[in-house]
Amino acid sequence: MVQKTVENVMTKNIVTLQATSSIREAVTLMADKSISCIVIVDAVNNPIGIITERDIVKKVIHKNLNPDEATINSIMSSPVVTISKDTDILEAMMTMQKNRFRRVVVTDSGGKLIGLVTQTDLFKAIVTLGV
Amino acid sequence: MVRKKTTSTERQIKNFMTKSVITLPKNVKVSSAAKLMAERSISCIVIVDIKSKPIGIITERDVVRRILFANVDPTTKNLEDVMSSPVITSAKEVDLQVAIRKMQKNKIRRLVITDNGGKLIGLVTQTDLFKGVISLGL
Repeated sequence: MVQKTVENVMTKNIVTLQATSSIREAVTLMADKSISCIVIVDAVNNPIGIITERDIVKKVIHKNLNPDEATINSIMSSPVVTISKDTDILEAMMTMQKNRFRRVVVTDSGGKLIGLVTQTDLFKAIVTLGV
Repeated sequence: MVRKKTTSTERQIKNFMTKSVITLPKNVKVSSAAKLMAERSISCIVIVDIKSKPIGIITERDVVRRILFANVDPTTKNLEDVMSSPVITSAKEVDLQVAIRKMQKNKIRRLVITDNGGKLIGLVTQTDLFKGVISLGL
C-alpha cells in the first residue's frame, strides 16, 4: 500500500492574516473565499494562531464583540498545533481526533506555514486516493 | 490504512451518529440559536416542525456569512429567515462510505438522519465519520 502523507492532500494556498487585522477582515475573507478558518501568521510566516467560524460565533456574536474594532489577537486560538508535511494521513486524523480539531496546520522543518489539512481534505484523500 | 474485516451492520452510520441532536423551531431568533451553539460547542442546530421532522439547518458558517458578513442584527431574524432548507437527510442504515460520498457530492459537512416516517433521529458530522473510519477503516 502506498503511504500517503498530508503533503499530498493539504490545501497549499492558505488564507492568512496578521494578528492586528480586524475581525471584520477575517469575516469578510471567510465569506468571500468560502473557508472555515484563517491562519494567523507573524511577519516571517510562522503560524501563531488560528481563527475559525466557531471562534466568530462564540466570541463575536455571542459575546457581542464589535468586529470592526476588535482585532484578531483578542479571539484567535494560540498557539497552533502543527504537523509536518511528512505526517501519514491516518496519523493526522488521529492528531485531529485527539485534540478535537477539525483542521490542522502544516509547517515545514523551519516552522513556516506551508499548508492546512481539514476533515474535508482527508475524506477526499480517503475516497479518491483510496488511502 | 488497514482495512479490518467488518460486517455491513458495523459500517452503518447509526453506529457513529449523534442521537441527542439540538433542535429549535423555526420561529426562534437567530441570536438565541447562536447562543446555544456557542454554549454547547456545536456546529449546527436542526430546525424541526411540531412533528419532529427536520425542515432546515443552521450552521456556524451560516451565522458568520448570513448574519455577521451580511451585517444583519441576529435579534431581528428568525431561524426560518436564514436556515438552509430543505435538509439533505439519510437513513441510519446507510454505509459509512456512502455517507461520506453523499456529503462530498453535496459539499456539506454533516448529514441529518431520519427514520422511515421522516422524523429526526440523529446527526452525523465529519467528526463522527472520522471516528468510524479510524475504528473500522473504510
